[in-house]
Amino acid sequence: MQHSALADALRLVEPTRPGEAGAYRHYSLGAAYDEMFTPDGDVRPCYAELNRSIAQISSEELKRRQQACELSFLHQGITFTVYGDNQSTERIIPTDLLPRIIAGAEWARLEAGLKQRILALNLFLHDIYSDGRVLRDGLVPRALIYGSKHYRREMRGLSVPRGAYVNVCGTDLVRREDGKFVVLEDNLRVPSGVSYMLANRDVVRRAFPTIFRTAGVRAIEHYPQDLLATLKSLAAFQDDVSIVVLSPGVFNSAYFEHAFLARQMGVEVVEGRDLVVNDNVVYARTTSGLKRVDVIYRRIDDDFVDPLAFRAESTLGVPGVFNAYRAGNVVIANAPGTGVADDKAVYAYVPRLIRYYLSEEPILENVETFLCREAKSLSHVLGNLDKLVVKAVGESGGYGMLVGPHATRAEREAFAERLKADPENYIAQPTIQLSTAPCFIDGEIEPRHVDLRPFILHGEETRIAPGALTRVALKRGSLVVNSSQGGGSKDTWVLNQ
Amino acid sequence: MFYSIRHITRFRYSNPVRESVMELKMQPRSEAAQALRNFQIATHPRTQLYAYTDHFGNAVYHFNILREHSELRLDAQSVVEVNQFWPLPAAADSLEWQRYNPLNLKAEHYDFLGVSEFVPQSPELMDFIAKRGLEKPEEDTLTALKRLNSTIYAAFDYEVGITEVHSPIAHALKEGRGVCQDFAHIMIAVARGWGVPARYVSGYLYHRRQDKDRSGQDATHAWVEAFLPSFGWVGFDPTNNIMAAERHIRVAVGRDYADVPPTRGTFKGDSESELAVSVSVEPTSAPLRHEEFLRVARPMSPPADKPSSPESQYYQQQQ
Amino acid sequence: MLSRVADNLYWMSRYLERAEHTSRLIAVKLEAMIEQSREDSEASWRRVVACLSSEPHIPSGPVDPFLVSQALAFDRFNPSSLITSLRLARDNGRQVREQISTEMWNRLNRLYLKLAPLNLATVWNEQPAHIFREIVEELHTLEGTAYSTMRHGEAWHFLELGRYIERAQLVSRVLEIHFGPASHSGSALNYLDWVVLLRFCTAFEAYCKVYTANIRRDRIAEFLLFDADFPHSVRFAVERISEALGRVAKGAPAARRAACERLAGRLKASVDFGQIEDLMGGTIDAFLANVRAQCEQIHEAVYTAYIGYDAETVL
Repeated sequence: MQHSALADALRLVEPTRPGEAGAYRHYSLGAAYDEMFTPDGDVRPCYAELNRSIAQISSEELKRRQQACELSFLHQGITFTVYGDNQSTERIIPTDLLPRIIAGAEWARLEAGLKQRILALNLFLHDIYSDGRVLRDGLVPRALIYGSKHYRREMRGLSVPRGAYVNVCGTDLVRREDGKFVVLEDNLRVPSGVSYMLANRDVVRRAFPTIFRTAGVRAIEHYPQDLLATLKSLAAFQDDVSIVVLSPGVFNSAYFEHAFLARQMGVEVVEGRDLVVNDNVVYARTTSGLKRVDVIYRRIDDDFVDPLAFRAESTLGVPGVFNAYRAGNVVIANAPGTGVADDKAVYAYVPRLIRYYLSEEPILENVETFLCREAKSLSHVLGNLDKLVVKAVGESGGYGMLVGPHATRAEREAFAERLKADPENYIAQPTIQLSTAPCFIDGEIEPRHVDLRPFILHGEETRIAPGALTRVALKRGSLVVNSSQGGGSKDTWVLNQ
Repeated sequence: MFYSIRHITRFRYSNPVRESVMELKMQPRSEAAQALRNFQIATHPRTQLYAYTDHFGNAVYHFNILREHSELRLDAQSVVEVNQFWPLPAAADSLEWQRYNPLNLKAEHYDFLGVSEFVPQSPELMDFIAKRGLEKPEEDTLTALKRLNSTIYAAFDYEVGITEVHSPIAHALKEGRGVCQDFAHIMIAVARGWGVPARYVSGYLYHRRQDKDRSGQDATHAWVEAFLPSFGWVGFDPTNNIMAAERHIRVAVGRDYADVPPTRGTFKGDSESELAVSVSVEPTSAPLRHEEFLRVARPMSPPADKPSSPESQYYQQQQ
Repeated sequence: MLSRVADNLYWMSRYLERAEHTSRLIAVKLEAMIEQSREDSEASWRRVVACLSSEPHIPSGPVDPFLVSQALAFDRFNPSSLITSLRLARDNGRQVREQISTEMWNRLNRLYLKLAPLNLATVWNEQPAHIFREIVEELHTLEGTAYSTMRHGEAWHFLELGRYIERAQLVSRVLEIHFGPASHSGSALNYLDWVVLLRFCTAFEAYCKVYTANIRRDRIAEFLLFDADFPHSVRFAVERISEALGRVAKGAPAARRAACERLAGRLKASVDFGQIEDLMGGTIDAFLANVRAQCEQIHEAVYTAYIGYDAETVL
């Protein structure tokens, strides 16, 4: 939209309201919580600076800045590469120009909640891989843990440095209609996306250099240094710690991130075939000979880490590395076996775990989850199928998902039968309207649903970079933020205040 | 009595291989009626051996060989003392089924209740159970397990070469033939379906002509142990239709074969490998040598902070 | 650096050098065809084929320039064809994208993707030499990009090692075909043939600067073998090999490094102190064969020392 030349000349700043003529004419507020606007159409304080800036920038200029972002990504090679024999296409995950902004005080609460959560999860992992107190006390059903394919009995009794099983965690949060952030899921195995968090910051800051300064945005560039310090803190001796990033290789879609983090930390990215275990010690094959490895930041799933200990057909891993880990001669971060704690069903128990291990009330709530294995929950679910999303959690038996509000009566009835036959395999959650944030779509500013994935590092200390990967569902009305299904991402600004 | 066991394993490679990594579960266990008196493993090519105790209390040795080799030989020798087995009563009482509760079952028992890699709940298994009348039994636990033991013995022929090391039980169930590994898996599957913790035992059987065992002499043997709260782990050998007793020497226990293979390894090289095994089990006199082998520490024993009920205490005394 | 990465860098560079050489030979030959008689042209083509193979004899038989060019450049089943070399260079480069710069990768990738679907028949009737000239130029640019955008650390020196080992062998081979026993059969080489030889090695103008336009057989051999300053001479290549060896695997034990450096030193001595007069009497072919053999030994030694060593030999 063009301001008049006069308006430009006078720098008349007339912030407009959603739905009215002006920059936000296509911005319609719905039931979801909007990050930028209150239901009355007032700008929330943390978006004030951005709003002022938008009023001064023409739509053409915004388009130009959006294009510059995209080009920057391409030039830096921050792409997903789809390789074919005779072609390879580079795709970028679209980054939206407009940053998602979170107030400092709000972030402080999130940070405290995330720290509490990872502490409890690590205590839980330690427990189920040693005494199993939480299982004996009946807080979590033993069958759920023992039957989980991510529960690695090999980890029982193993001594893990600092009791830190999860060293890198990506927790997905969403903001409900009432404005409260809740946890959607934890990613405790091989969480990815932090390179996009950093790349987004890089390009978006250059798109809005002035307000970046004046708004007081907290820095996140130090993430790789924090990651390095975290990994280093896990080593037995702190002198001359040798760290590598273990990747499946260039054909893995997340390879860019593996190599990027390795480069930023000043360590090598390796594949399984670059490492060899001799006499229970891990070495990397270098041109200068075999060099001992002390810490492996592994971006490979448990199953593939060691063909001797786990899946025998794996060619991605290192034979014997788990025994070296067992002997304390190398550190594997994240530890094998963490996946049992980010299981969909175990997720529902996490608030109880926080109370059990820390004797504290959870600062961050889960999305309300009904465990159908519990009789009371089951009857509630059966009585409210039209309002709930029901998901299968087990690997065996249960299948499918029911989105209650979108299903027909017949579908609900059929599903109810399945539920009654095998309640242990299902959980149910109310549908949530993710919050919306302003996005620059085809020359207009429009609201799109977003989530939030901050990254938590846990070693000697727990560190959380003041930022996150905000994922966007780019299709209007869509709630699906996955990049493979039409999602994009945004830079996330956490303000000093 | 004492047994002297020699278990030789030889791998031959069609082309020289390098960077071999291997784990061995060959050291007989020391617990209950069995005590390990001596154990040695020699490898050729020579290499440094390391050891640990796994989550089932098995002694695991491991090693790696970097340099090129065309053959790998493992020579395991042990002397084991097997004491007389306490005779079991003819049957358990009718309340035994009810003793499968959190009071009597410890953490370790739950590992042996669920499905595992070689012990799935498959349609072929359900078929077999229905055909042989092996749904939840009416008689007491011990009698039921004995019946299961002989049912499997009767239902299958022992034949080598029909199934192989990685065969799922569906294979043997379809063929009606198999080897001790298959019979053990099937028995475990049925027992677990009844709610009885059942585990796979790999080890050796001292064959005597008069016993007319079906199992092969020159090989390791596999059988089953089922947990009865009043008696502890009781051994059943469905291959030979007997209870495990003084002729059975226990090496490793697990959920199924995947947990206890005598050897498991990887190597680098474009080569086929041929495996040859020889096993000899002989009674022997008491050894004079000093005991030298990996002392198996019990993996995490959770402190018993719940007092056992007077009822189970009574049966423990009876043992 | 990781041995695997060194391996990829080394081979990427060798394949790029091979691709450039192949492309240049074809381009030069196509341009020269206009001035050659049919008989001479055919003989010349046969020499090109011989230069790009390792067969002991120059092939005989009729020559169809299109088919030959097609085979040498775009035959996917020919392990030394231009397109195969580019494909392998790209495959190796892709594994080490982190070591080479983004610009380098993008250029290499684009070049391959442009040529992969190319059908020579569609451009044959226009200016076929043009295509090959473009490829040579693009590869030159790639080399320049590497030089200016990569840090001259271990990675870059493995690129140098690959490039110059390949170059030493390729130039020796070209000389073998023109001076060795193979050249004695068939008709003697004429003035144009010698100019073509120099152009094969981008040496015509440089030669003229050193020796004037007087094309003499012995001087050509001297230039391409012993000139210290011309980038496509064997001596220059050997000098770069020696230098690169001194700059890689700095942390390796001295004994390992000595093995490679010793071999390079020996080769260097034979080209540093070589005299063309000694060779023109008939021993030049033995000399060239020896150069190629020693390059091969250096390649083996590099592998044994830094890349493909058996793990137990270093513990």
